Amino acid sequence: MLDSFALLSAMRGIRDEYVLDTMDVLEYSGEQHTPRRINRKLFSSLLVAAILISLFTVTAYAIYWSLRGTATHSMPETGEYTSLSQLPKVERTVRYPITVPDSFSNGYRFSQLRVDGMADYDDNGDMLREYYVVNVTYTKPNTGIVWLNIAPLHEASADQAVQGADIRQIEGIPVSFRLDTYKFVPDDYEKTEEDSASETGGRFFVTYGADEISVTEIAFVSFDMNNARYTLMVYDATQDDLEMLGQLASELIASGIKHD
Amino acid sequence: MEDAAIVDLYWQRSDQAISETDRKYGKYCHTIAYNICANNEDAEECVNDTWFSAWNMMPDKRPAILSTFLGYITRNFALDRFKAKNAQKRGGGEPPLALEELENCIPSLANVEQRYEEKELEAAIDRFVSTLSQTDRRMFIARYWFLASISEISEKMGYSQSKTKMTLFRTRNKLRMYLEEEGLC
Repeated sequence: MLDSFALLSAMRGIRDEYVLDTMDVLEYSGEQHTPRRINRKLFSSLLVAAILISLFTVTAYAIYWSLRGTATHSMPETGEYTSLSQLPKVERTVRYPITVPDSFSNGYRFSQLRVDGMADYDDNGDMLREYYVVNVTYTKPNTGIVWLNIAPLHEASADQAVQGADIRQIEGIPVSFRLDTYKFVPDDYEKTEEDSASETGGRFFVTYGADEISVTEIAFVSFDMNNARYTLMVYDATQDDLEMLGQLASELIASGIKHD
Repeated sequence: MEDAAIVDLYWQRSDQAISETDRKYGKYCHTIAYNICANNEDAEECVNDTWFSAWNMMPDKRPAILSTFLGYITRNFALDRFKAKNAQKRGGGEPPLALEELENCIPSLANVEQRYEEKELEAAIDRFVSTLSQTDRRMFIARYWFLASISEISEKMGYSQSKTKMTLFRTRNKLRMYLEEEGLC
C-alpha cells in the first residue's frame, strides 16, 4: 500500500538535471573551506582496504616474478550482507567454502560481510586472474573493529606458506603473527633517512596517498585453511591485540575443521 | 578539482578521493542530511556513511554526475536514520511535516489490496515533475527531495511563505490526480 514515506522516498526517481537545477536555486553547491573531521571508522576502513591489497601484492611479488599487481576489480556479484543467513549464497558466489562465525568467545560479534572483486595483473598490465574476496568486520562495544579477509588460494599462492618471523602452530596449521608499523604520508612526501633505515627491518612501511602524516601499528594474523587464506587484522594495535587475534584464529580454525 | 578527477581518485583507491569529495560536496551533503535528521551529529554520520558507501561503490560505478550520486546516497541514509528514530519516537526536522503534506497526495482508492512497484512510482514522479512549470518544479523538489523548510524555499526563491505554501498545495493536488490516473495506489 502506498504511504507518504514511500512517496517521499520515491522522489529519488526525479532526474538529475532537475535536482541539480534546484540545488543551485537553494545555493547548496559550493565548497567548504574547513575540512570535515572524517570519522575513525571511515578512515580505518579506507586504510584497511588499501593495506589488504598491498599485502597481497607484496607477498605475491616476492615469490612469483610474473605477478606485478593486485587491485580491486569489477565483478558481477559483489555486495554487502548484514546477516550470516546469506552465507550459503556468498559461498556460491565466491566458489570456495568460508568459515565466518557469528561471534567469538571474547565478545566480538559479526557486523558486516562484503564480497569484493579482485584481480592480479602481470608486468604488461594483462590480467592473470580474477576472483572474489570476502571482507568481514567484527565489532564489540567500546573496542576497535576486527577485520577478517578471506581470499582463495590459487595456483600462484597455493604452495606459498604464510610468512613472518613469528609462526605458531594451531591445530597443526602454521599461523603467522605480525605487528607492523605503517606510516601514511601524502603523495609528495620524501622519505627520510630514518624511514629508509626502518624499512630494511621489514616491519615498517611507508604508504602514500594520505592527507597528512600519521603512524600506526597494525596487527595481522594469517593462516591457510580449506583452500583459502584467512587474515585477521586490528588497526591501532598493541601486542595484546596480536595475542587476541591469535585466540580468534584458534576459534576460526576449530570452526573450519568442523566445517571441513 | 573536477568531478572526473575525483572519480579517478576513487578508482585509483587513493584516500585523497574522500578529502576532495568532502571539500567539494561536504557542505551540500551535510545540508541534505541535516534537513532530514535535524541533528548535527546524525547529519555528520550520514555524510561519513556516504563517503564510505561511495568508496565501496567506486569502482564498479563511474557516476556521470557526482553531486547527485552523492546526494542520493546521503538522502537515503538520512531517511533510513529518520525512519529508524521515528519508529521509537516522533523525530524532528522537516520530514514529519513533509510526510503529513504528502498524506494528501495518496489517492483515495489506495488500500491494502492495491500494490505499486517502487521503480514504477519513481518513474511516474519524474514524469509528473517534468509536466510542472520551472517555478513549481523547483519548489516541489526543494520541499520533497531536499526537504528544505517553507521559510528557506521562500527566501531562496523570493516569494512569500503563503505563496510557497499555496503553490505546493496545488502541486500536491496535481500529484494526487496524476497518481490516480497512473493507477499507482
